[in-house]
Amino acid sequence: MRVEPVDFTLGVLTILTAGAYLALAGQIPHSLLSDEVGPSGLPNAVGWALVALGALLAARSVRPGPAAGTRPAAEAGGAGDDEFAGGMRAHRMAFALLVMLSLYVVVTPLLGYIASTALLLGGVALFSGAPKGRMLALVAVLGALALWLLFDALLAIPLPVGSLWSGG
Amino acid sequence: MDAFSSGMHALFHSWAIPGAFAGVLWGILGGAIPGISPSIAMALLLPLTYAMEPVTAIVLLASTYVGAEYGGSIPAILIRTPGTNSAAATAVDGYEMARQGRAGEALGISLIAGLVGGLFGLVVLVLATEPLAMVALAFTPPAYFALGILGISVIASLSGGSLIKGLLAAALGLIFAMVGSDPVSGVPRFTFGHPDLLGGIKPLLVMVGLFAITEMLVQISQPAWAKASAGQARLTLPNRAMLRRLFKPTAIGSVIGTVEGVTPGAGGTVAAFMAYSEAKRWSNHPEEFGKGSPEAIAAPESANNVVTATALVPLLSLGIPGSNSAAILLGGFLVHGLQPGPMLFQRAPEVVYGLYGGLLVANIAMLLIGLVILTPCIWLVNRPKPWMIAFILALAVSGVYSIHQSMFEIGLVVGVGVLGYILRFCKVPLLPMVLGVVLGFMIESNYRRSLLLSGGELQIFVTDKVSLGLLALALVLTVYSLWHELRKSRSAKLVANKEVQA
Repeated sequence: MRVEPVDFTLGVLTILTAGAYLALAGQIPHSLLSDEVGPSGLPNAVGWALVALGALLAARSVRPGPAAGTRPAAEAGGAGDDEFAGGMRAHRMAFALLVMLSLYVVVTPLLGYIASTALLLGGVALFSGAPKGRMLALVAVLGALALWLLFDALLAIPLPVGSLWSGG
Repeated sequence: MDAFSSGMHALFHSWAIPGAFAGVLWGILGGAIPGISPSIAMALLLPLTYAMEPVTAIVLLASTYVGAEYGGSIPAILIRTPGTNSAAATAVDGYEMARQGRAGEALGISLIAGLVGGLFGLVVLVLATEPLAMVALAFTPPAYFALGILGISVIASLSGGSLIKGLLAAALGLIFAMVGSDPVSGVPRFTFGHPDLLGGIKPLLVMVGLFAITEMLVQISQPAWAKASAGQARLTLPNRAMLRRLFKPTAIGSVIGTVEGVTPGAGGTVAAFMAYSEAKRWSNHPEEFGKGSPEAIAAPESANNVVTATALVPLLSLGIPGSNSAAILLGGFLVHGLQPGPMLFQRAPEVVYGLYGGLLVANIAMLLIGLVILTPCIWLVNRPKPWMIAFILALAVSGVYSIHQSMFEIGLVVGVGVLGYILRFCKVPLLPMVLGVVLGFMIESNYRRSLLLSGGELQIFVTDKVSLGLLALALVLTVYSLWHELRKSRSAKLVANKEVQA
């Protein structure tokens, strides 16, 4: 027996997600304006379809045959791919990028567009291998200013000024 | 004829022509950067099209697609690193020619073959989608529901080998589509009391998250690409004798690109490799293939440029995006409240005909810009990758913010990007998810409207002739796709067993 760990985990996660989704669909309020199908009709159908797909995926990931180590590379799930060849390092880097993007969402209303975009540009570039130094800071600030000019001045889209500077 | 003249009016009395030039320029530059696919270049522009007139926005996005296909061949030829997936077939002989000091000649062949392919594809697009304008008025809610089902039925061919994973992605897309007010009763669904979610999750946000953010999350751990030499920055157009030699491979590429373009899920990459293989088979000099054959550049380049137009056939006629780039273009239509499909020819003919005209301008722009763009492209290819990633992310989040000035939507896009990363790691195809997001509303609302019209009788879906025809076509497609998938999985198993035994 051999188990494709990525597919098996995905199958189990799909079933769990579907369970949570069905529970949420059960809380959708009914309306007097509603039709025969109702607002929870399709969500319920999709939820149960996800349960079935998750079960199928998990079942298909367990197959008779040699252990996982001996299977052909082409059949291997996720981690065997070239784009994820870095293994955990690739995931750690993606996670760090996610943290930077999340911080951007949190600090932009506070610091404003220019400062937080300069921090995002400099932070991401530094993290992904750009050399430290004055040039890094200069390109980050000029880049943020260029983007601000494009969106705020040229396209007339108001960008956040930052409650820290506006006193709001 | 009225529609045609209104299209031309829209084209000439808007910013569509400058948009075509700007789109081609952006596409070539984007395509020239390895890792930036045409769909990512288009996704980055998508939020900026929000404030534009529909014709300008659609022409800009479609022109980006045209430009990116040529741009992808530049690093393929210069540094053997295809800028786009579909330029991979060009890299083999293109780089060999560059090593022989014929990089400029290879780039010239790529440009001319791309131009011929693009124009051929445009003629096919006009001829193939035009007749559908005639049946548009026959579309009723049951027919729209059936059209949505037809769209879902192509998932098998978009699933990249695993139908279960394709269906899983589509179901996730439907989950996104069902957030917001219920289309019939107005009851809020899955909004968690958040006012930003009452209007639903816009397909545009899902597309930017899945294509731009996911790609950067993957790219950050990838090694940097090679550098190009500034000394290669001179493009040479083919002479008459060479043009004669390139006629056959360009024609082969054009025919293959047409067939592959209209087939959902096939796309430019498959077309380019098939064209390469067929051009070699029919060539008088097959021994030169792999060693720097000009024919081996013309065939794949014409094929992937034909696809930029023919991939729009299922999109414009049925509202079904057959590729990532077509999905982004669909996003462009939806941003302006336009639903591609037969009714588009009735509701917004000026956009359709403006798009045809815009594509013609884009192909001419590709030739003109292609002649002078090489030096900036080499400069761009040589920029440090860390800065590329940083600027693409900053542009993506700024673009998303510009739509509704909402930080919440940036958070949503980042969340979708993470989901896309996980799905990509698990080899779940992303395109069916986009299909689910886009078609979810159409399927649910029209199914329920149809039942309201018929008093709950399901027969309405078979008594309506258009609906019956579309449902039958969906059934045929599903059965064929399942049969094809089973056959492929059986032959893969046989190969795997042989490998294990060996």
